[in-house]
Amino acid sequence: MSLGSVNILGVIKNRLIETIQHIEHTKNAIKSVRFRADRQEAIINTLNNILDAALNELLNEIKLLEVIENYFQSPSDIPEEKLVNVVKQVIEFRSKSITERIDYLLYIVNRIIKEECSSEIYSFVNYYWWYLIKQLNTSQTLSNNIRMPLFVIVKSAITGTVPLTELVEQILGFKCNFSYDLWIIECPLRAERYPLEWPIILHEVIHILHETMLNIVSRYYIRAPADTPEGRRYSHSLEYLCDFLATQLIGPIYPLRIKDFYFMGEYKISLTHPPWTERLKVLNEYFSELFQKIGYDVKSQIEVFLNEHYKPPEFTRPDRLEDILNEAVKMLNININVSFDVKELEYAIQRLSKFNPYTKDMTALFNAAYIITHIKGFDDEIKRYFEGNEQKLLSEFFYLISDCVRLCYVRHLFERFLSQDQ
Amino acid sequence: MEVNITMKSNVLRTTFEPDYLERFHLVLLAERIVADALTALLLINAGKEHPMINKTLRELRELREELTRSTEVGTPVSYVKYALRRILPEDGLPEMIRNLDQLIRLLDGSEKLDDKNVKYLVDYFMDITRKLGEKFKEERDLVLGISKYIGSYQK
Repeated sequence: MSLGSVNILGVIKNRLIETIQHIEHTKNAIKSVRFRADRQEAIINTLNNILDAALNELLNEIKLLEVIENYFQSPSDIPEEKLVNVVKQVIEFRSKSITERIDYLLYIVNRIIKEECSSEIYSFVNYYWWYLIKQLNTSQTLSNNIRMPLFVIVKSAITGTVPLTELVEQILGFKCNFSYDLWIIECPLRAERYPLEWPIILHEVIHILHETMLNIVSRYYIRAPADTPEGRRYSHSLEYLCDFLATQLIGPIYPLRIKDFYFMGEYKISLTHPPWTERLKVLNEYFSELFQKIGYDVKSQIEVFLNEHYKPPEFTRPDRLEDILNEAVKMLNININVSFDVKELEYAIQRLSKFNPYTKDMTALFNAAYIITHIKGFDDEIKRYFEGNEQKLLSEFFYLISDCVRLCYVRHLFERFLSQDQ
Repeated sequence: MEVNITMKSNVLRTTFEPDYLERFHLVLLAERIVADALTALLLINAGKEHPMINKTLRELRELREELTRSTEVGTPVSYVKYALRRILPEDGLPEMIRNLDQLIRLLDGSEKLDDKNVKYLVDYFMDITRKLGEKFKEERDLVLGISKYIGSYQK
């Protein structure tokens, strides 16, 4: 009995050809997309490279099937009866493996095409991304031949990061020479209309910065699965570092959002993450001076919360955490305890509580928005105007904040342009 | 989750968040390696040459190296090894390494193969991927379920 008589190879070949058509369709879809992400052309090229790699893999697979078909055509090559089923089993398994990998890839690429976040979220992220790059340049940490990673921010049900190019090469096994690393930032859907949720995206941005440029934690701990003591020290240090740098960038709104939205007393996110109260406690230790300086009860809000909810964690803090955080401060030449401009914050609060746009400093903008909505409240005239319709008031206010984000970023771009000109 | 892998091996060097994504990716990776290894085995069994055989051999040797590496404190632990420990019985890892060794010897021609060996190895490695798939079914549902969620949201 030849393999051909059961026509399994023909069936699988047709499936693969059909999958090629899906890839071609996705390639065509990319042509008509206008990405909101920076460096659009590089992103399109990278996505095309990824899809071409998948196409090549499929074409090679079809060739391999033809080779197998030819091998088993002459009577001398027909395997023993008992092996025929084994051969069929392997070929079917093989086809399941490749089509599943390509389906997963197409799912990811289609999400990038169709589910990008708003341009305001990009304005917010890019503002801080370029600030971090500038700081790395200033402290001469960045080498000249560094490959600046690309990233796209995609609406999601989860928060996280996926290194797409590495996934394609190392997990999916599609061979490709990428000019850039492309990362996906998974951003919760609820963030689209709620700018106060955006600071948490900075945590993800710092994951990317760390993996591609900083690489601090690996100098102190070994990368390993999080259910080993070594792995836990590594992954917990990384999480503390991302929280720490996010707070260095945007100030108290980051720990305040952890308290308001993310804290859970008992439920653990995963082995890779330390408990929220411990994360908040670390931030409070490093930034209590800043919280005090800002006023508006920020310091006491966080401390009261910690007093009520803090429980010593199951796993102690990584012993080199302080060194890791200090090294990050040095590499980025960053210290918000000193640099935070309280006068600017007051000015932003004064403008925004009257619904006047504020466009100068992104960090002042976000902290002012938090303080107005959660602590201080709006100007009386504004409250009267909305006649107690708080939902409408907040909805309009967040539209205003989104517009201010865009304008802050435009201003920042203009300043960048001017500084390059000099 | 962090994984310790160099560009030479099959393991990631990077971060996937949330960590269930990583376990889902591990299943995809394991299925790919097993599919290639078993195809190469069948080709060798049929007495045929193909470039994929050498590529697969290289990949399997790296995997064996990773699985036999020391796991004492201070040495890296690979995610593949960790995942295999989760699905294998207490003495399962040595058996896995033995079978991997035999597979490599059969592929590089240092051991003569027969149909019985081929069937045993195919069954063994297919069983490993089946167990991996079952163990991480929840992860697979989580990853692929998200697509359904987003689809329904847009409708």
